[in-house]
Amino acid sequence: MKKNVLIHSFIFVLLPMLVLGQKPKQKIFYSYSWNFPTVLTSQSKLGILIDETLVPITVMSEGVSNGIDGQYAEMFTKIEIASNTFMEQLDIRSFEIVPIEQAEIRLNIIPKPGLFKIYAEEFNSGTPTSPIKAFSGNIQYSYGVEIKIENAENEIVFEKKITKKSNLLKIERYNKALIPSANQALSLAKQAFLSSPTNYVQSGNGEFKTMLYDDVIEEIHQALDVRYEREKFYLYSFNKKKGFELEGIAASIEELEVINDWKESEDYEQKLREILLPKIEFWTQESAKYNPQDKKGKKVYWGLMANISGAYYALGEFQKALDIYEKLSVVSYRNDYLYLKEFPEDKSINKKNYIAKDQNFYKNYKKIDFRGNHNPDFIAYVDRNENGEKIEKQQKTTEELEIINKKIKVISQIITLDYYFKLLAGSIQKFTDENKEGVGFVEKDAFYVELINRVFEETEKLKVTDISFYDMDEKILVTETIEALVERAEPLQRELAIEDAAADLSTKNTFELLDMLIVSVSKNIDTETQLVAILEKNIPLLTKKIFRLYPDGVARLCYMEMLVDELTTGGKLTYADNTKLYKHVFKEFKRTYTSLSSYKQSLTRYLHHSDEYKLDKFLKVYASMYFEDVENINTKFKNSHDEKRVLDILNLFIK
Amino acid sequence: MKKISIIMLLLGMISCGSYVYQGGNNYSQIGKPNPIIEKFDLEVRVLKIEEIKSGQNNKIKVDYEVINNSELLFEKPKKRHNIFFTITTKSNKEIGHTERIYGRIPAGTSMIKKETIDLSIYEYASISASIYTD
Repeated sequence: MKKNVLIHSFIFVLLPMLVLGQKPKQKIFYSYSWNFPTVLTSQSKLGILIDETLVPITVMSEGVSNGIDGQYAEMFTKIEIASNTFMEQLDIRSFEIVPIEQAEIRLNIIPKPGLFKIYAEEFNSGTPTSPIKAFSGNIQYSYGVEIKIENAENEIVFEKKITKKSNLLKIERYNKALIPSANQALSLAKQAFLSSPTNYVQSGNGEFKTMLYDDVIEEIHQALDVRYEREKFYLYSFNKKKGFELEGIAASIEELEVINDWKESEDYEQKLREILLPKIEFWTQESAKYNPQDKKGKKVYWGLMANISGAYYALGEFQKALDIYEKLSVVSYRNDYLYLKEFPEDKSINKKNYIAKDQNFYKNYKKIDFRGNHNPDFIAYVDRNENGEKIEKQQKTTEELEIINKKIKVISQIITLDYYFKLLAGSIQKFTDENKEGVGFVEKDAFYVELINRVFEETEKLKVTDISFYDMDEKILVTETIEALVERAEPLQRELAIEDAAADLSTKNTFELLDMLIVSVSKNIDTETQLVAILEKNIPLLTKKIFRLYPDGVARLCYMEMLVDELTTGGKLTYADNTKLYKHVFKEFKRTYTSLSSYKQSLTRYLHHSDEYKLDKFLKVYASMYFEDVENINTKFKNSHDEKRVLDILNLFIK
Repeated sequence: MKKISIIMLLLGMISCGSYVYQGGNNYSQIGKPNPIIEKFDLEVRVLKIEEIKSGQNNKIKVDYEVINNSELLFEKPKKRHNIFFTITTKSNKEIGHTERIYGRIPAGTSMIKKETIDLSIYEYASISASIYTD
């Protein structure tokens, strides 16, 4: 028994070590290297056009493209490619993404028609020696995309169709038993499809997106971009071997493992040279110790030369890498390791191709890097209807947008002041104690009065707002609305302004009495209903003139930011000084946030899908405030108000 | 008693003031049924502008004339008739101001009114006026 163990150990462990000891062991390393594109251009302005075509889908069963027994013979799907995700994934280095009309190079992404294939397939459920014939019911989805790149002269400089198939369903058993016939398997697959065709279409679209973000993006990078990419290269190490001094080589390889952890940086190439060049020198010296013609020595020689070649390749010195390969071709060992030739050769060709007629590279690629700075808004979409006709989207000029922004700013101020005044006026009882005589107040919260005055002053300021950029109808609407806001606020503001409205009239002088009378008279003038009616009519009219979104949605978006201003900006409400009022306003903020969050779906109905992320981003800013304790808001979110934020979000909803 | 009289007097004054604001000099107690046809041909002309400057608060006093070019008596029309003033400031801003036309303007006659418009820190450059209905 002992003898057997020894023999086996010798055969399976020691013998291979003896025989294979000096055999080079391949190790994978990663380094960053430049990849040069196939589309050769010195131009740097890239426009992206995504065709949001309604993609026709064919359903094929029993080899006929006629749906399932006539059902679902004609289907369409719309593949929505979100601009922000696409841009993040693409993150092209050597091009600046610009609006499509300014582009020198245009990239078109065109989804191709899809095909559901519903079929039965025979398979062996047993073993090769004792087969058990069974059938599976399958739903397979074929889909594709066309990438087309055009230059400024509308010439196609690159074109590629990528198609893929995904198995969305495979039924191999029915009631836990194998399916004995093709007919039954097919029928089960059909039933599955018919039970929820929309789910299969959705799954198909999911598969499409996976392809888009993997294969398509890679294809675009290879075609267009000069990229610095993490790539494999190979080096060889050796185990200990009697009669050979291989430890030094093994250590030299081990020392290089640090390279794998290096991230892309400005001094990356320098660092790589500093670590690899001494190793090349060492391997060259070592290689002189081995005879390439010797049966055992040639293996070490080959490994060392392959290392030198690999290192030059990693350094981008492709000719030197190829020279080493030439030297190795005379060594009769591993002559089928053609990567030593192909890798540097391919790169060398690509790099040479990237040299323009003037002997310079098409682009000074080492100095160009647009990554991380692309604006997803520049991605253009072509929409088509079911007949394949383009639905044109009207682009607004910068001047038009400037005017719209001015309009939005005024409307936003009107809306927020209207909402805020309503909140404050509606909560008057919480902050005052009315006199029994019904004239003036015995007690007033000083901060409440101050706030009412401030809101009134801000409303009054609106009276002299510039209306030159509105058309005539809008000018009247805006002016009427502002005047109504001021008039509505006046009585409350006046009433609160009377100091210590007297319980004892006898202590009052004539002026005080006059003030009180003004209040009293104002109360009697029944104009408030009329003013509210004007506001309720005009504000929606104004918003509808500019926005696609329903007026209340616009109002809440504006109001939200205004409350942030009140709660976080220095010089306004503070928790420490005006706790009661601060809590009241914060409660309003939370209420508005909750209603906006629950409205989110109805808000997104008015947005192009590529803009939805912006709304999420916008709401996210407020979410952290929403979940914070009221006493910390002032300090943690100090000066969080950003007027531009709300203008940007409202811009998404303009007509 | 004396105080109550003062209060009554003041009340009366203030009440009149509000009516003055609403009705202007031509306010009349004489009431006639409204004409059914509502197509009035009214015209507004700015007659005089007086600039009132006091520190950072500029105002203009506008004298304007509302002319009834139609052959109907203008009085309590069904639709509100309003004047829209557009004041252009020296900094090229446009400031709006509306004023409802109250009062009674017999056919072929006119009514002269005054209105003070607050311009805040802005300085008056020009004015235009037009009539609009709700």
